[in-house]
Amino acid sequence: MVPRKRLIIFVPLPGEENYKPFFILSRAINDEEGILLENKIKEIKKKIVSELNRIKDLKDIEKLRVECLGRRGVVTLLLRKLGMLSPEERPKAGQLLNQTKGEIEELLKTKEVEIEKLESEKKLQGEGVDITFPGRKIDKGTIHPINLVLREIEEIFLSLGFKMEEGPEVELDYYNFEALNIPKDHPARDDQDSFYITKDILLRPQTSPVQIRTMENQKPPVRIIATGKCYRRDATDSTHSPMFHQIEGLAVDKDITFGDLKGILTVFVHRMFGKDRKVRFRPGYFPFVEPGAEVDVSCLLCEGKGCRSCGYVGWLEIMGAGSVHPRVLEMVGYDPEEYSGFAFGMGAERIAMLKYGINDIRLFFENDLRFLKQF
Amino acid sequence: MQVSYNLLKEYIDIDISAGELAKRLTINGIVLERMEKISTKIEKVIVGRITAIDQHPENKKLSVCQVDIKEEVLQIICGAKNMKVSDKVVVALEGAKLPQIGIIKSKKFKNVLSSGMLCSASELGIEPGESPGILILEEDAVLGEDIRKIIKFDDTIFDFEIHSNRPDLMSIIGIAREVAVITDNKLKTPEIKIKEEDERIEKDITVKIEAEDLCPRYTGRVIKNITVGESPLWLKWKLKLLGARPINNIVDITNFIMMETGQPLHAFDLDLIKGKTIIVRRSRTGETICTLDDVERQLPFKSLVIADIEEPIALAGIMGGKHSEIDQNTKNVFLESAYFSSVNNRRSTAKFGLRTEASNRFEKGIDKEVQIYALDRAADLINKIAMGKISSGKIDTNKKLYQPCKINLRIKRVNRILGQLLDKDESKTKNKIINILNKLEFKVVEGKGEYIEVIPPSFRGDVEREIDIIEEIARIYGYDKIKPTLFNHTIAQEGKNFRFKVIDQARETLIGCGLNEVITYSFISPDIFDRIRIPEGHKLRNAIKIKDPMTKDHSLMRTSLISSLLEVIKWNTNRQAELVKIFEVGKIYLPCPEKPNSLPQEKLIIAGAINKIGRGDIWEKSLSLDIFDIKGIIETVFQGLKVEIWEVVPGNHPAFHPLRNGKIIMGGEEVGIFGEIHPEVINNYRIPGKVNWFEIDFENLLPHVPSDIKYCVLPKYPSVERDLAVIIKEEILSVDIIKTIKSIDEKLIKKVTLFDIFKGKQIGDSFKSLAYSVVFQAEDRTLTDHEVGNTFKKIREKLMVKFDAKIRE
Ligand SMILES: [Zn+2]
Repeated sequence: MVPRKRLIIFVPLPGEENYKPFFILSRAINDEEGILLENKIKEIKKKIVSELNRIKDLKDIEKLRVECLGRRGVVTLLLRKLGMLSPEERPKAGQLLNQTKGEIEELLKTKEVEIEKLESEKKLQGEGVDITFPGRKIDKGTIHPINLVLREIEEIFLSLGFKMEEGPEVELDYYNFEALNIPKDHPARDDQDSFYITKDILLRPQTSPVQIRTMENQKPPVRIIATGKCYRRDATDSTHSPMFHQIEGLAVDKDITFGDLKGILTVFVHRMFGKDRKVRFRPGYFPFVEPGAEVDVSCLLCEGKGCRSCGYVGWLEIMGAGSVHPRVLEMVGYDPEEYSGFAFGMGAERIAMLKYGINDIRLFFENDLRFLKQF
Repeated sequence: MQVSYNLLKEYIDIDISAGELAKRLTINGIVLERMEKISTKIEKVIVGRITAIDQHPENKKLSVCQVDIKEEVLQIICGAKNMKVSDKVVVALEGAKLPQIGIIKSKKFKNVLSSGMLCSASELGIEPGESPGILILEEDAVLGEDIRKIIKFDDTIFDFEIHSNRPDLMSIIGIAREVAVITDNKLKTPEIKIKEEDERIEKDITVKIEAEDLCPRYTGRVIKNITVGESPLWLKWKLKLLGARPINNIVDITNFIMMETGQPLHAFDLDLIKGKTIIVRRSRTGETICTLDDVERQLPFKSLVIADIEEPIALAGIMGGKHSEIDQNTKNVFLESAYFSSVNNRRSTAKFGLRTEASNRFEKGIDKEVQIYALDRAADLINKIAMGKISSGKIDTNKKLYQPCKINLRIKRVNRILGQLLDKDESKTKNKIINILNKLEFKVVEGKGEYIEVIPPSFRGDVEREIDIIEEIARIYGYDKIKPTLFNHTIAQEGKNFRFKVIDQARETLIGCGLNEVITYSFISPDIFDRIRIPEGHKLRNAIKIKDPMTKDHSLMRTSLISSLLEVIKWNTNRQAELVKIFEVGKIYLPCPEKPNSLPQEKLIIAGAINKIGRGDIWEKSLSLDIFDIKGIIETVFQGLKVEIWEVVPGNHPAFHPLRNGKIIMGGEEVGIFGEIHPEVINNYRIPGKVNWFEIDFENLLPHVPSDIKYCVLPKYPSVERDLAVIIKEEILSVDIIKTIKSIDEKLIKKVTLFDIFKGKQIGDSFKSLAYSVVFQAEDRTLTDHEVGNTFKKIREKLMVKFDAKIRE
């Protein structure tokens, strides 16, 4: 007869109050008892599974884990008592217990993940927002339409190898008239009624003085554009403003021709107003260029058929241009036999009005935000 | 210059339509400003002859006329008195249509039947307003002929814009010459047959030129026994087409000849020229003249006048005097056709503020050879129309005023300027050029090979050098035929210099900060200085003054952008804007007091302003914009420009809240200001809410903007952050605390950030508690707690000593 020992272990089982023994594990050394152990373990597992089904939050999972696998958990206690078994039986029982432990851990883990998922889903459900609320944006500002147009024009000429220059708005009569082949008492002075500060100083009525200042400061080749404010004694109405903006261009080199003028300005018009626009050059008079030209673009509204905005001629005048007058070259010390060039000038307001369909020049200087924010 | 299609046809055959003609002229540089088709709805209006005039039996004011209309004699009642038996008149028949009146019906005037109507010039639409009497036709008018055969009522009026270099186009003949170039037909100038009497001109007039420089040529004729009266129908009609108003036959003739030939004429009443002497001289001090427009004018010293032996009788080339005016009593006239210097004319015109058709032509320069043609043409017409007798001989002080000049034209040069030959074949090019020049009435002398000699006609004073001829060639050849080309080679240059790039960058940042760019006038009113609280004598009040400003608002050049932008805010808040955030990149203009005749200093300023009165949306409602919003904008701009070293000191600008404004200092120099605009200023502009402002003096900023970026090695060792709160007196500036903290160990202390402020009873009324986080980091090692603790202790001690601060950790 094999001596037998009766072993009674009190273990709390999941779902029961702590330390309240509700299940007595009898352990026997013999086969019979071994079988009993196996049954008990199965029972534990079953009990745990049923407990897990009841469990709804992570806290209870943790509690169950402690009750089973914690220091005083049922599986731990069983493992601790393994030593009481006979050496032959111990491996088998140990293996069984360890396997069970693993299985329980797995079950707990699975349930844990399940609950975590449920819980986070539940949490998200409580975090709803009204996505139609406005975004917390920084209202982006806008560039003034005149500067928008100037920038576009500048970009075109920069890409054609021109350089940006600038000059004073309060200018000497010399740079504004005399050096541009408009001596005192020249009839062309009537065309521009200027604001004078003194006899010899005025608010420039055109950006052309920048041409002279540039040529005085550098040797050819010259290829510049200059933009800026100009002033004329015009009373304010829908097409006139005492202050306005001009874009001036100048190219001087050894072999520049009237054909180059036509080529460059045609490229400009096509980039600014579209490839389909027709460009027309016709004779015009500006004392500092000769031959002088007026540049027309086919009407943007009627495509050249004739409408109210183009005065039924199908063309819109957009700039003045011409080959630089030899006298202008002489005045800055360039030899007109060696050098030639072309110059052009246009009004930014007019270009902007044509491009954006604006019909009143005053809008540019009233600075109404409802206007400005459109650009 | 106004002219009509039919009128031009009298001088040149035209085989293209009016519309086509206008288009071709525009392409040749004679720009059409306005084109108007005219037609008058006149029907059943014919030429008749008065055979008898009786007074109406019941109304003395009316005449009962018997009018022969070839087929029959009509009885017509007429209110006018200017007709006599055998006069040819214009008869509107029963059922006739007249433009103003409508359909004419026979009707009885106090029991006397009137079968039609005798027409005046205004009733025919020839003259504006109301004519004084009925229209009397010339003797040679054909009885019974439809009036539409005499006057071409259907016509096209052209109004050409004449450039100041082409005064020759201010005449019918001038325009007709350009038409001739287009149509290739020959110009038909009116022929003149002068019938001179035996009596010599010298008997009645002597002309002395005392100012030959201003009057290089003076010509004249005497015409006697004239009859001043209404102009004939054809002349009235022509004047209408030319946009002029008929006055009397003599004045109308001089006006018409001026518009036909471009030569202004003046007719004096010969009998009112004292001493029978015309003296062309400069005016003397104190002289006055009453001009035709009934204005008594002080004569500026040394301006050219036409005088008799006693006093000035005309402003040379501008306007005649009232005294010697032609009127109904004038019997004899002296007709003047002169060449006055354009420079003198311009100056006088400017001084008088008086510009006339005549002065406009003189000041641009008239044909040097047309004086006699115009004089004789007018004399001829006065003879024919006003029955005047032309004395024999004429005054002409300088027959050789026009000196033809030869200009060498190099064919190669044409090619060089235009970029191409007019023809592939060089000799054909030469022929084409000669052909164009001939069309323009330039004389061409075949030169030897390389060049040709060209002599421009007398009416083309604007053609002085080779380039002027090249322009004429290009103009007539056609700009459209010149091939567009692009530059032969590129030049390497920096398109945008650093300055332009920095402006762009600043502008982009401001837009990114939500500011809208504005552009305002550079002008200001002197009133704004009071409005923005600039005290008397302050340098900002020293602004550049514009001579004769158009309005007070445009009388000074601005020295500050403040008023400009406040006006914009006002404009927008007046229009219910709840949030205004604006900026401008614009100049101010500062006079150089030490050099009054030099150009002012123009400084580029970047200024911005923000104002919020509305609630805004759900997120914005709690946010009120204050000085730190505006300061933040400047900081962002500086950040964008990589400008890192600058400091802020309290400011003293009078336009700002005295305790809420600061100056930005870089390298000891003021680079900008910011702050809250003074409530008084806001009130002066009637702006609701507060305005916070910044401005950056771009010229001062630019030298501090780095032009390139240098990469710094990233730190290898971790940083340690410690917080401390400092209880200090209210007036101590945060920046001084930060500077002091950093000064403890410039190497180790990387960053000091103010993250909280507390004020309250617990710490005492005049105290504040500022909380900072301090970041420590070494480049070569991980800092130990001990190291950080030591430095931190030093910070505490220093703050306690320096600011009498209480420290809480
Ligand atoms: Zn159109």
